[in-house]
Amino acid sequence: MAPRKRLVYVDAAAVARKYGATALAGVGVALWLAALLLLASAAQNSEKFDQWLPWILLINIAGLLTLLVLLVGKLMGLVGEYRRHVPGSRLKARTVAVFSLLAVAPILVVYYFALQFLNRGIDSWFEGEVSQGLKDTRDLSRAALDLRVRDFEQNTVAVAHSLAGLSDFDLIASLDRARHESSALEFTVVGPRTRILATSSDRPIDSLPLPASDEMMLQVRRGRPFASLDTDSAGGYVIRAAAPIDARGDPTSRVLIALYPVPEQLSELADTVQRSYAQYANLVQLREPLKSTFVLILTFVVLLSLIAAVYGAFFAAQRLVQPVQDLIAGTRAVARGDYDTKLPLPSRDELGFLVTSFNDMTKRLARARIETRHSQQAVEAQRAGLAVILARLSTGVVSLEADLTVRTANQAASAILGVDLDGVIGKRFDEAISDLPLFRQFLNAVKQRLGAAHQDWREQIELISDTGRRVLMCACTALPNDIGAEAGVVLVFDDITTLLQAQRDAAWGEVARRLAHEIKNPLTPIQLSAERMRRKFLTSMNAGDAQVLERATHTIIAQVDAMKQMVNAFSEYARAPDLHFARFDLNQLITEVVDLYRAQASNVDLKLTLEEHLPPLSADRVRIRQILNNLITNSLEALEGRDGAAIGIETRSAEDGGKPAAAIVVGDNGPGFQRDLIGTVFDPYVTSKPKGTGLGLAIVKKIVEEHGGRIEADNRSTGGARVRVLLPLGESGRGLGAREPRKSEHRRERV
Amino acid sequence: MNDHYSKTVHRQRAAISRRGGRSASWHALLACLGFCAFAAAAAGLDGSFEVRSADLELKDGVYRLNASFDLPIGEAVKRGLDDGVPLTLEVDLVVERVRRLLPNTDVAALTQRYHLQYNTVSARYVLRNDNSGQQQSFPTVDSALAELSEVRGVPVLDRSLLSADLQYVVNVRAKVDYGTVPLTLRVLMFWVSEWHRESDWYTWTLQP
Repeated sequence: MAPRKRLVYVDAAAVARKYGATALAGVGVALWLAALLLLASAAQNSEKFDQWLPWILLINIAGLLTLLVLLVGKLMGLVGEYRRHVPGSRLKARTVAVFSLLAVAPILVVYYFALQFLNRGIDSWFEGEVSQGLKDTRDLSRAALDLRVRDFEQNTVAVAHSLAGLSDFDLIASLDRARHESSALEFTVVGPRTRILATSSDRPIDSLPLPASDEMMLQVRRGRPFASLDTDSAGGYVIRAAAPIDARGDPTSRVLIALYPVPEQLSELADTVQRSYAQYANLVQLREPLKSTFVLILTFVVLLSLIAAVYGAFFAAQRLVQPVQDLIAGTRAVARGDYDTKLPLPSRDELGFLVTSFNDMTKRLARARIETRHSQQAVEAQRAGLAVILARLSTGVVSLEADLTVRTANQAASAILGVDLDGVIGKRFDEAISDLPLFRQFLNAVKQRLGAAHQDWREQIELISDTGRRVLMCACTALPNDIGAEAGVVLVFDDITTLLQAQRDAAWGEVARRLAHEIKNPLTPIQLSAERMRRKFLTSMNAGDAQVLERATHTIIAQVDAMKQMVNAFSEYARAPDLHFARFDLNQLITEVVDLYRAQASNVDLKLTLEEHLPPLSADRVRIRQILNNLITNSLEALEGRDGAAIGIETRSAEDGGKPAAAIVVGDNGPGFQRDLIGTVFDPYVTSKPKGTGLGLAIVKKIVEEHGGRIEADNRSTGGARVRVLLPLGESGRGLGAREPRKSEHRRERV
Repeated sequence: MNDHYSKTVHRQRAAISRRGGRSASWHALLACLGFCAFAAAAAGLDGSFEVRSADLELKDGVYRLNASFDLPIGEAVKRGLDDGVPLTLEVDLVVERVRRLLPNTDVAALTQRYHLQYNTVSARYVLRNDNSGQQQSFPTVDSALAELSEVRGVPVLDRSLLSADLQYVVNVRAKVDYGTVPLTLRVLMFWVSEWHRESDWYTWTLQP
C-alpha cells in the first residue's frame, strides 16, 4: 500500500515567515506590555521617568513600526498572491477587506468623536467665566490690599514727618515709639548710600533690617513715598513702605523704611488667589500643547489599534481561508489524479466537516481507482485472450462503430475478404477500401442490411470473384451500448464456399451412385433383349418391318451404349479407387500424354512450357494421367472448329499454403468459361458444350482433392480458359488432402 | 595630551549628563519624533540658550561662581510670565580633577535653583533662590530677567580642597524650565521640548 501523502508544503522559507512573524509579534507584544508596566512605574517617580522614558518610547515606536512592517509585508504578500491568481487569494482579500472595514470603521468613528470630545473638553476647562472669575478675584484681592497699602503709606509719611529734624541719636527712641504706636513690624532709617542710621523691629532678632531696594530709593529720592505689597520668604505677605524724612530734593536726606504685616487670614487668601491664578495661567499655557498631545496619543493608539485590527483581520482571514486553500489544492491534486491527497483537519466546525468529507471522498476515489484498475486489467486480459481467440479463428470477425468505423478485425476477416483490415482500423469501413471488387460486393451487401431497422441478422452472401463464386455466411449483431447512443455492430462471416462445394460433391456422388445402381443394371437386359429381338425377328419380317425393327433396335442398342457410357462416367466420378502413390517425373508424364494428343489433333498447337528442374511428384500416376487427359480433352472440345487453336501446358514450382507444390496450368485460346458459370465449372453437369457430360472437370477436381491439391479455373486476359492445378510435392501432400478410401466409399463403389 | 584630555572631559560630561537624567538617546528620540513635534512653539521657550560666560572667583579663601546666561525668553514667554507661569533656572556646576589614564573624578558638584514667578496679587515678579531661600521682587519682567541671567558670588568650594599640583576642570551648565508640567502630563507631553531647555556644558580648566 502506498504511503499516504499529506498535503504539507515543506517550505523552509514559508515556515520561517510564518513562525518568524508570529515570534516577532510575540516578542513585540511582550516588550510592549513591559513598556506599559515601566510607564506606570515611571509615572510615580520623576527620576525613573527621565531614565526610562526614552526606552519606553523606543519600545512603543518599535512595536508600532514592527506591526506596520508586518502589515505591509502581509499586504504585499496578499497583492502578490492576488496578481498571481493564487487559489483562495481573492477570498482572502475580500475577507481581509471586510474584517478590516468592520474593525476600522468603528475605530475611526470613535476616533472622530474622541477628538471632538477631547478638543471641546479641554476648551471647556478654559471657558471665559473661569478666567474672568479669577481676574475678578485677583482684582478684589488687590483692591482689599491696596487700601491697606495706601493706609500704611500715609502712616509712613506721617512718621517720617515726625522724625524730621531729629538727630541720628534721637531717631532710635522716636522710631521705637512710633513703631509701638503703629502696627509696623519694622522701622528703619537709612541715610546716604542706604546706610542704616537707626532701626526698630519687632521681627526675630536674627532678622536683618529690610534692605532698601533700588526701586524704592529711586522713587523716594524723587520725593515720592513708596509702598508695595510683597511676599516674604515664608510665603506670607508684607507691605513695604518708604518716605523721605528730610526736605525734598536733598540727595543726602534720610529715608524711613517701614515694614507692615498683612493679617494672616488675608495673607492666606491672597496666597490662595495667587496660586490659583498662577496655576490657571500655567494650564492656559499648557492648553494647546495638551490638546496636541492628547490628539497625538489618541492618534498613536488609534493607529496602533488600526494596524492591530487589520493585522488581526489578516490572521483571521488566513485561518478562515487556509482550509479553503487546502481544499482548492486538494481538488486540483484530485483533478491531476492524485487521490492520495489528505488534507489537515483545521477544526471541528463546518469547514472541518467539509475537509473530513473531502478526505473521505478522496479515500473512496482512491479505492475506486484501484478497483477500476483491477477491473481494467481483467478486461485487458479478457480482451487479450479474446484477441488471441479471434486471431486463431477461421471465421472473420469485424466490429464496426455506428458510423461504420472499423473498431476491430481479425486475421481471418482479412484473409476471407482479401484485404488488410489491420490498416483500416479507426477508419470508415466504406471509405478505407474501395478498389477491390470482392470487398465492394461484400460492403454493398452488408450496407444494405445495416440500413435496416433490425440489426441482428444472419444471411448468406454470394460474391463473384475472378476465381469463382464465393459464398459467405454472414451474421450481424448489434453491440450493446450502456449510454443509449447508437451502437455499433459486429460482423461475423465465414467462407462456406468450400463447404457448399463439398456438400454438392457429396450430393453428386450420391446421385452418381444411385444412377449407377438404378440405371446400369437394367441396361444390359435392355441391350440383350434388343439384340435378341433383332436376331429373332429380323430375318422373319418383311423388308419394311425389318427396316423399322432394324432402326429401332439399333437405336435402342446405341442409346443403351450411350447410357452405359454415362453411367460408367458417373460410376467413375463416384468411385473412390485406391491410390497408388509413386514418385515420377511430372514433365515426362505430361510429355507422354501430349504426344498422344498431337497425333490425334494435328490441327491444334500443343505447346509445352515445362520447368526443367521440377522435383519429382509423389502421386498416383494413373490418376494424374486422367487429370491431364480430361483437361486436354476439355480444351480440345472447346477449340473444336476453331482456327489457330492452341493449347498451352505449363509446369512450374509453386507454393500452396506455404508448402512446395507443382503447378500444372492448362490454357487454351477458346471462348473461355462463361462468367456466370465460372464458380460452378467443377460441379457435375455444369458444361457449356452440347455433348459434354459435365463430369470432366468434376472428376479432375475430385482427383486433385484426393491428392491434397487445389484447382482453380478462370479466363485468361487474352481470351480462353485456364485451369491451374496445384499438387503438393513430396510426402506432405499425401498427408493433407489425400485420403484413403473409406469403407463406405468402397461399399458405394461396389454398388 | 590635549586629545586625551578632551576625551576624558567628554566622558565625564557624559557621566554627568546621565546623572542629570537626560541622555543622548533622549535627543535621538526627539529627533525621531521630529515628525510629530508640532507643539505650540509660539507659547514656549524660544531662541538659543547658552552659558555666555562663567568663572570662579577666589575670595576669602572660597571659590565663588560668577556666570551669565543668554535666556531663551521671547515676548510670548514674557506674556506667560505676566500671567503667572513660573520660570525656573537650574545651574549645574561640576569641578573635576583631571587624572591621567583614569577617568576624571568629581571634586565638587553644585546645583543652584532659581525660581521666578509673577505674583498677581502684589503685581510684582518674585525671584527666589531655592537653595538659600532668599527672594527679591521686581516691578517689571525685564528687571527680573536681568537679575536672573546673572549669577554672582555663589560659593562653590574652599580653596583648601584643591591642590596646587593638580589640574581641575570646571563644567557649568544651565537648564531652564518654563511652566510647571505635572508629572502625569509630562508622561504625555514627553515630546514637547518648548518647556524645557538645556545649555551645552561650559568648560574651563582651573589651576589653583
